[in-house]
Amino acid sequence: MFGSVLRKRKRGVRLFLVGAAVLLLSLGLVGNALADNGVHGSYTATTDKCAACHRTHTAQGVSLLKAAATATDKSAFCYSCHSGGFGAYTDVRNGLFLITATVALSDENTSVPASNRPLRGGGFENVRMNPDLSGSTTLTTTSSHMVGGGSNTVWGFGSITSTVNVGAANVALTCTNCHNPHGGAGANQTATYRILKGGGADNTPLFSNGTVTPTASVDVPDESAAKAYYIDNASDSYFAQHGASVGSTNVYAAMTGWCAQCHTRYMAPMPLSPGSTASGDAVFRFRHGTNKSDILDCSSCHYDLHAVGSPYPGCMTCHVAHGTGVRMQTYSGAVSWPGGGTVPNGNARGALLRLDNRGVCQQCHNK
Amino acid sequence: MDDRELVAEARQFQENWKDEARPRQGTRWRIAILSVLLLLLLATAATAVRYLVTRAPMQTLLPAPRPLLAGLSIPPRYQFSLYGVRGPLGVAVSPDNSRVYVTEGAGARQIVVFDRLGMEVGRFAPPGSQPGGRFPAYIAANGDKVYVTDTLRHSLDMYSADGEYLGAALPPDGAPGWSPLGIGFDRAGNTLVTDAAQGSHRLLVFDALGRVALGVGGEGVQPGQFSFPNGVAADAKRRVYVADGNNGRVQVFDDSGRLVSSIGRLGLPRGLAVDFAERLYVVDATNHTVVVYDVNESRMRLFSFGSHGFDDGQFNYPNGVATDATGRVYVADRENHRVQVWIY
Ligand code: HEC
Ligand code: HEC
Ligand code: HEC
Ligand code: HEC
Ligand code: HEC
Ligand code: HEC
Ligand code: HEC
Repeated sequence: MFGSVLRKRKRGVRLFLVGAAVLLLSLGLVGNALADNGVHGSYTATTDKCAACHRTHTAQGVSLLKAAATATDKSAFCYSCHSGGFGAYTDVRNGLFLITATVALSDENTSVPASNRPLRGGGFENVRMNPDLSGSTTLTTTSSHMVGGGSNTVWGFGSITSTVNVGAANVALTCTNCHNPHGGAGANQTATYRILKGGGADNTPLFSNGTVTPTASVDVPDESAAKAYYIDNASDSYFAQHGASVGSTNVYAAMTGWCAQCHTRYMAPMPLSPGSTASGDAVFRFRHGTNKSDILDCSSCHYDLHAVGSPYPGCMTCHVAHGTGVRMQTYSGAVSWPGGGTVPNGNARGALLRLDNRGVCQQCHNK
Repeated sequence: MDDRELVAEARQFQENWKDEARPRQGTRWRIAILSVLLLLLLATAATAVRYLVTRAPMQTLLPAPRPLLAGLSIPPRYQFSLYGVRGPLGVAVSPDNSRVYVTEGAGARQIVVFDRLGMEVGRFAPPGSQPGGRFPAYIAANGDKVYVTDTLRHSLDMYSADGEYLGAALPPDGAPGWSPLGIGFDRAGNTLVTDAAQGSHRLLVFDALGRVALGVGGEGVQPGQFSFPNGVAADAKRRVYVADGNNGRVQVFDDSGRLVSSIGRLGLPRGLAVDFAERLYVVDATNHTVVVYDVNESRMRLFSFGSHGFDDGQFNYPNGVATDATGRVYVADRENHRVQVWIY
């Protein structure tokens, strides 16, 4: 049975190759055949993929989307594939990469199941992570980028000023504020890491609240070495990898600049001398350094403290991009929000952190 | 009979009625009206009593109309919904039409059992599993067993009709690494499974003894290949229909695994079912609608029902569909957290 199917397929392959060659010759163009995935990007001149999301004449949403277009509906649209393994392996709602592992990694941490590994970004409703370094576990999300819509403040948006401004208010966030579903979102239609919005012309604004409509300008490079979807919370952790360049660019440093397009003022230079983190901002007067590129080589001053590949903080050192299940106790749970708000608090003050309470600090400072 | 004749006949009828009715007006007429009213009163009272006793949605208490075999292209009507499920994805009806099984993709992630009236009568899940460790996807009932695919445990689980766990089906090639997604049966007793394991999207047909009788496909966009094959169903001629999700089409195979045709262009086809009248139901998740085809020869598109929204009869990313022998169509309305019941 299988034999005959296989034989047929071979003939099909030959036919397909001939067909493809003819197409290439006659049209002389193909889409950017880059590392983007699934229905996103790598479009050919006669692509069928648009129809997966758009209706030309019978659309029910803006941008001719088949579905309606409130933020809730837009994320539900992405969930129609990115949840449960019905149309994609990355289940961002539950923070899992739903595949059965066929290759056991040599550095495998036995506490992480071989299949269904945790996603890098965490999960919007549930998440598999290791927030107290005792082993991987499934948790309900306590803090996330709120892709279900609502009216939110983009903390820290705006340039450094001496007047109080906690950020841009009244923003309804959804997946497409960060991702460009078409891929090729970088300058000159280059592929970006995780189809994140970049400096390309095909991008809609990062967000809009009627007053400001910033556009993306930072390309996060597509790093093939960083492409695996999961992270193994112990052996493949962000702490361990920070500072290590992948290929020619440091993905984490680039990502910091990317996040800071929305959270503008959270991008802080590394001080040239300790204690000088004053920012010049009316509210955020002092900030933790988050930008390595501003400073000289660490080893020029601390050769023993920081060996090669040692950690320096970038947004992704401490935060996940989608959602986390960390737990916040007395002090961490009561930290007020920029501008002074005190709700939500407790676990909901998890601030997308990778570890419970302030575990992230101890990863480097080890006080 | 043409229109003119019809009108003439109607007039004639009116005349006759007037002529006959007038002389008989009086006691007999009044008795007739009174007895009709009395009957109506009794019927209302009986329904009210039944309603108080069973507390089922009103519509279900009214007698179910007989399926209209002749009017193949008349769409069903929305009747009521089954509530109390989170993110329902798959739905199945027991062969005797008495029970409805629904898989939950959110919340407790269990299999919820309803009776015909929409009352929840039970819940089950793989023994020893936590909600975060399972993901029941598609479901089908055959004989006295219920089959459920699980996209997180990568398994095909079997239960008794009452939800007693009977074990998981073995992977087809003896090796782990399959990812069963869609599940169905043909009328010869074969089990139909779509496998969405990374790199080998395919249709598998198991015979009654559980041996692989057929394996078709491969991951890709060419005819006969799949990109996330979802729902699977068979018609009376044992043709197999596979919802080729991300390729936006339904591929049709004969019982020897030969591709006979392809039904497109759909948005995101997911759940499939074939009903008593040999009609194929295809849930289009991103178009929020169910498209219905006549599977006999022409595979003509008959109609579709449902549109996007939150009201009765509107869908929000629907996924699974099941039909029964009494003319009911069940649709898992995922993001509205309910299963809609439509009837003919
Ligand atoms: C994965 C789903 C998906 C696919 C596939 C897809 N689109 Fe889109 N498209 C979207 C979404 C979502 C938006 C709205 C973007 C936003 O709100 O930022 C959009 C917006 C657009 C817009 C208007 C806004 C803009 O970005 O300029 C155009 C034009 C467009 N798409 C064309 C296409 C074409 C042509 C194809 C096929 C080559 C295609 N799309 C494939 C999801 C998709
Ligand atoms: C605030 C910006 C932001 C929003 C909103 C957002 N994402 Fe992401 N997403 C990211 C970033 C950044 C990454 C890369 C994470 C990493 O590498 O650590 C990512 C990664 C991913 C990945 C790859 C898997 C992973 O976890 O690394 C998928 C798939 C994805 N996002 C889909 C979605 C979908 C679907 C939504 C909406 C439900 C969404 N994203 C909303 C920023 C965002
Ligand atoms: C498109 C704009 C945008 C981008 C890009 C963006 N954010 Fe946000 N972020 C928001 C908005 C809006 C909120 C407030 C509402 C919310 O929590 O979703 C927010 C909130 C947060 C919070 C507080 C979450 C909470 O509620 O506890 C953290 C932490 C955060 N962002 C980190 C990041 C990091 C890290 C990145 C880069 C991966 C990033 N953001 C990229 C828009 C953005
Ligand atoms: C028709 C199904 C489908 C829909 C709808 C869909 N995706 Fe995807 N997406 C995929 C597949 C398949 C992949 C490949 C990876 C995988 O299997 O998860 C993917 C990959 C991604 C990635 C990772 C890309 C990379 O470079 O690694 C991101 C980010 C993403 N999708 C975001 C979105 C967002 C945002 C939306 C909604 C606008 C969306 N997707 C809608 C099928 C879909
Ligand atoms: C211009 C010299 C200089 C450079 C360059 C420099 N540092 Fe420092 N750093 C110092 C001095 C001085 C201290 C204070 C040491 C002390 O108090 O024990 C310090 C303190 C620190 C501390 C606090 C140690 C503690 O006990 O908590 C950390 C962490 C640190 N540096 C990391 C870095 C990293 C990472 C880099 C590279 C990105 C870097 N430094 C580059 C001079 C420098
Ligand atoms: C050293 C760890 C660390 C790094 C690096 C870091 N953050 Fe945070 N972030 C935190 C902690 C801890 C909180 C919780 C609130 C607090 O302690 O101020 C937080 C809170 C936030 C919030 C919520 C608003 C608030 O201030 O409470 C946003 C937004 C945010 N971070 C964005 C970013 C962005 C963007 C970057 C990169 C430019 C970044 N963070 C880098 C640890 C970090
Ligand atoms: C990835 C490693 C890393 C992590 C995680 C980290 N730090 Fe640091 N921290 C540094 C480095 C490097 C410096 C020195 C450069 C600077 O001051 O920005 C530093 C400096 C400091 C200083 C001295 C600042 C000054 O003005 O002199 C304080 C206080 C501090 N960190 C607190 C924290 C807290 C609180 C957390 C947890 C939210 C944290 N750090 C997490 C690396 C880290």
